[in-house]
Amino acid sequence: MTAYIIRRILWQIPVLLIVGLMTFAIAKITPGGPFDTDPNRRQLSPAVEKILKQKFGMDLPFWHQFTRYMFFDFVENPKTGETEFQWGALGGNFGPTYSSRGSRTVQQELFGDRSGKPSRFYYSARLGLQALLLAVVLGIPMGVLAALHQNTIIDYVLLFGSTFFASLSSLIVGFLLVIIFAVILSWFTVIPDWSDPVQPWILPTIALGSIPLGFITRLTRSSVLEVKRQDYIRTAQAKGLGDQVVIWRHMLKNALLPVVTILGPMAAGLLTGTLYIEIIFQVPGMGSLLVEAIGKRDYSMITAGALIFVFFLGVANLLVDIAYGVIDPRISYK
Amino acid sequence: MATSAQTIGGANALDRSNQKSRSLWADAMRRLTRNRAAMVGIIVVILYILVALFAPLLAPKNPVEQTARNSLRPPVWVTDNPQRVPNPENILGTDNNGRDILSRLIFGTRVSLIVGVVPQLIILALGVSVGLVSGFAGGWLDNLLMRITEIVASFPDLLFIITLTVAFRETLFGKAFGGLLLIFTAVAIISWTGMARLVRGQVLSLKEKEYIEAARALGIPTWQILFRHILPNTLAPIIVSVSFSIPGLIIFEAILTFLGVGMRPSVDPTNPLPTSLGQMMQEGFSNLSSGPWMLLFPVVLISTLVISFTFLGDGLRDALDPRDNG
Amino acid sequence: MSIRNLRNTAALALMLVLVVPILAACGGAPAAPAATTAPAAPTEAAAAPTEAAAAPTEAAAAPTEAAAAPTEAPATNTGNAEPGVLRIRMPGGSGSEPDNVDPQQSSFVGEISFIMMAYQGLMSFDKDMKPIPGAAESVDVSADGLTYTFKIRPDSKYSDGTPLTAKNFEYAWHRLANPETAGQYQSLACGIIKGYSEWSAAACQGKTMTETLALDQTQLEADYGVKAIDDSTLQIELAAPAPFFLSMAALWIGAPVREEDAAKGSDWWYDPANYIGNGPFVLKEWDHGNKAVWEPNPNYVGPLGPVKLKQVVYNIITESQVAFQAYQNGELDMLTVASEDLSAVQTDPVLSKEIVNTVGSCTFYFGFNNTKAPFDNIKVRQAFAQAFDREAWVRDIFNGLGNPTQTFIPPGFPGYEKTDQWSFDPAAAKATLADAGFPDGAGLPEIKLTYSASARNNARFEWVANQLKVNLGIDATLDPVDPTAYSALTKDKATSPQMYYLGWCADYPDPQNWVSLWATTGQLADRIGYSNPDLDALIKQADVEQDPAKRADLYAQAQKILVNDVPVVFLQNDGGPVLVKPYVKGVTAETITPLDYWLGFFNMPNVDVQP
Repeated sequence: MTAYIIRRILWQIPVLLIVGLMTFAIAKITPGGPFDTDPNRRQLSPAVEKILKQKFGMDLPFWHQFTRYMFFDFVENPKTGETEFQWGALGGNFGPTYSSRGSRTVQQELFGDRSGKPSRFYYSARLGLQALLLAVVLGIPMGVLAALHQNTIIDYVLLFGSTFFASLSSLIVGFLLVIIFAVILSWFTVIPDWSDPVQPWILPTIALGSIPLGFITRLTRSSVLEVKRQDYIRTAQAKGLGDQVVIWRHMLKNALLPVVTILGPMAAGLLTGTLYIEIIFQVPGMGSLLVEAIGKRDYSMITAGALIFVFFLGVANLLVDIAYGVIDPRISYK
Repeated sequence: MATSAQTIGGANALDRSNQKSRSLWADAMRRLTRNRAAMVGIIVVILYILVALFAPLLAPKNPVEQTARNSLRPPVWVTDNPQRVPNPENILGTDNNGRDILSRLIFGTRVSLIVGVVPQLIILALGVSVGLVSGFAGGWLDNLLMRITEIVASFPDLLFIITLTVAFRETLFGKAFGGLLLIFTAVAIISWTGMARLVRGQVLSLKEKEYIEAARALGIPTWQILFRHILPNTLAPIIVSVSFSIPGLIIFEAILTFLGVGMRPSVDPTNPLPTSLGQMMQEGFSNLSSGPWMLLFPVVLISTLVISFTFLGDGLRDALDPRDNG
Repeated sequence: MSIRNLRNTAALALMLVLVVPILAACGGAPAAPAATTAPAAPTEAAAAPTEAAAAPTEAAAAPTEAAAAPTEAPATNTGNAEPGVLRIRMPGGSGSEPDNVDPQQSSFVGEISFIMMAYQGLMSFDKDMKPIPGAAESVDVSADGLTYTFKIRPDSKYSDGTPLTAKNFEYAWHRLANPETAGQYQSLACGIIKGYSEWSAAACQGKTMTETLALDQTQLEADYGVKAIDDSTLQIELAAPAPFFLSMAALWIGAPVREEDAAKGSDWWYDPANYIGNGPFVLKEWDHGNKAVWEPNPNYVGPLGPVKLKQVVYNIITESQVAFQAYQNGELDMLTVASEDLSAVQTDPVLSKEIVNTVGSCTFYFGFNNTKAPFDNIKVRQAFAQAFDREAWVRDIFNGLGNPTQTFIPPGFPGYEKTDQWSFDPAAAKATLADAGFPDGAGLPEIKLTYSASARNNARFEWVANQLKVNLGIDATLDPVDPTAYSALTKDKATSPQMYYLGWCADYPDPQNWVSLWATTGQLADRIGYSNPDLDALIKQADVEQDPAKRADLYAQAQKILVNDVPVVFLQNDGGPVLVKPYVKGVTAETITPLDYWLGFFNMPNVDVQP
């Protein structure tokens, strides 16, 4: 098992490199650059643009830009003329953001403190975990319940209830929640007060959790139905074990497999932020920052976003694969 | 769906030899028709398909026709506001360009159905085969394929689509079907990974099952085990996943519109695909306060379609479950 | 029918019961179709949106509920408003957080409205957009128009109590020109201040950074025309007469950043503790990505004080629909509404009373690539100018947000010349097009209308394409392009699209900021390949003319040529209705100017909140 985990971790290195390279390349070939922003304002003079490009190393050949970003480089300081060593992304330096004119780095923006406030990553991760927890805690029992009452009104109501919100864009769901609970009922404010540890989190958690909720409910239902008819369950029932024990000990354990599979990517996606929910509930998270970065062609931020996502995805998938072994001991890793 | 009576029979023969052999499809149909929710789902989906097919006959107006001084008319039964008088010609009202909402909805179902279904085929083909091979082969191949899925999954999808749409802006590929062809391809390329991991997870569990080991011991060739015994048993989660990702795609199309990379707008009165429900939903969202009907109708249509697919998917799953004889 | 079937049927019925009210509530705002049973009173339909929106959830059960509403007098929702606290959406259109608020590096509207809260330039503007002394007490201009001597107000202090002297301004203006700063607006003062172009060789002469820094920096700085004579006197020498320089001295680029703050690293401005200025407010708290809280600067001296407000909060809200809900819920005190919401505002009994009309500082236009067929033909351009119904465009597409225009400088700005040369006249347009050799559009190459892609723009340009079809018989194709890629395309005449949509917003209120852009080398003309030697000559003369009357006349002549040549079709100015809560004092149509960083900024001493 240890060897397996080590091997998996080693595999992550080429994955990170390839994702970094491909994202960096795609970002660079996309027409438009970090200095092509609002077309209705005074545009940068070509001379100033040239200076800025030089400042960000955009005048270098592609491979050089990439190795500087990903690994390290020796950068000449134009003021002193000295050459300084500088780490790249693998050393934890994702480089300066273009939108801040180079005065802030990506890691400062995402993980650094926002003058005494928690980082953007904290907001995204906390919201994502809460939503996932909500979806799992509600979704699995709902799925089991629906399966046990297959094709009854309970089944239909549960399925409908869990699917309804997922059938709309989270933009609409989020906005619906704002209108109902903030505008009509006045239980919340439209503009959140993040100094409150609970209040502002409630609506976005519900809105974000409602999407995986439908999926988890239905997947659980489906696997429980599958397992329900397997021999060992029948055997257990024949042996006279109580209904509850049968369900929870045998059935659920096996039924969890597909659910656990889907949790991996879902967790990575939720952790790294979600655009719509952040926009509607004004969450200072990573999602909106990363999407905005695409519009601003903030190359360092775009690539960092992909690298961070693939890192979490790798970790989540590794955990999922380990969980497979725990849930179903017949699956072994050699 | 390469299932047949023998397939299931073969799987069943090992654990339930007393089960009388009946055609899987007959069984499935029987179970499906008994499931009311699934039947409603099917009927709704068929209705949508009919509407999409016969859109030009059904639509009272041309969906791109703009009438001056006819913008933001409410639906005909909303008569409470003297400043906003409905136009009897526009049953469901008009949008801010004075176009007939009903006609646009009718044409919009076309794109939404296509968007929901077509990329799904590519996703299925790629995802299922990668998942099967990866789960069954195991070892380094599994590792390699799974790392590839991670790479693809972490690809910034939005950036990828923006790049493609801008790069192919002037080409036939970029213009075909109002840019939809390009969007399909891009979406399919980046969305098959979830399916692959789902199938792999199922296969990992199935291949350790007694009947698979028995089949191996009997010397049945690998491909036969794969296609006859393993694939049919992964169908259930696949169907659930597909019925869930269809709505996902319909909504994704709307998100792309929100971010300005969706399908191209059209003023060509002969265009068979002038708009989509997702696009209408997005336009409706920005007009929420002035013309709530612009949001309401596409939302009702999309959620009805999505929920119908959901119930249909669940019904299919139940019907295809070989062990359900209830 | 078996019991099970019956149950299934009941489940479906339940589903319908559930879905209808939820979806109806989703329609949300006023006049949701489900609320139609409400009696006709026009005022009521959109009444308090809270009531109308609440209705659908009960609509099925009790439609009479909604009928009770009209008896209540419509009143604005004060929400959690507090006396003296002004809560607004982050200025700058998108409502998002400014990326950099270093005065010598910033260039975007949102960034500027941040800077100008904390800092004050030498000059400021009055309500008529005239430059008036700001941090300077007085200014003396030499007879040749080349030397400006500013007297700093006595006992000027920064918000933390440290003295503000001419030396601080000297540092800031030097920082602006210093090539190491490499600010995005560095090129703005090229050729205007003496020695600027020489020192800032990279930005003004296109040299590389290495070449620029290899020059003798000490000598260049010594030759630079900005000098503090003593603690209260700052002298700025110009390279050539520039009558607009006083306006330029009021801009954010000359904000007196302190050397000790700027020395704290490239992101010194990120921490409110370092963001110390001489402006009317102090940055109390900056919760990045969420809000910025401002409190009055006790040491402020200048035309914007004394301030009545106790606090100003900039809220970061990127989605305009959310901001609109926040306003209606009493969580914002002022709001520039999206054009889509305007027709709801105008029919709402509460909101319609809160409308304040503004004048814009931007002009939008259809740009033509003057080097590509068919728009290299002036007659074709003129035909397009006549074929466009600007009134309908503003009325139907923008719901009245903005004003139609046929010239470049917006009304209210110095140098505005009203014209109706290209009023909407489809018959004349067709004649002009025939005159150009394309009767009824026959023989024209494919006309492609390029624009920045967004859901909102799609609907707008579908309308435009329809106009071209109806008025000129031209089948235009629509070409949405990703906004950033679009920006890149429009920058150069080689890649500039055939026909596209663009705007220009004022930097400072002077015709030079507008008309000069159309000289052959000017920023706008160069992008589309437009050139007219007569115009060039007039601009060259006007830019340095000392006599105000003569100068105004030269710009007026230049504008006549510009309008007649139709290098682009001017369409509309921004501005139009915005919402201001009735309890906000001092923000009226008379007291706001197009230059306001937020509405009423230049009427600051009179602005107050009294809920």
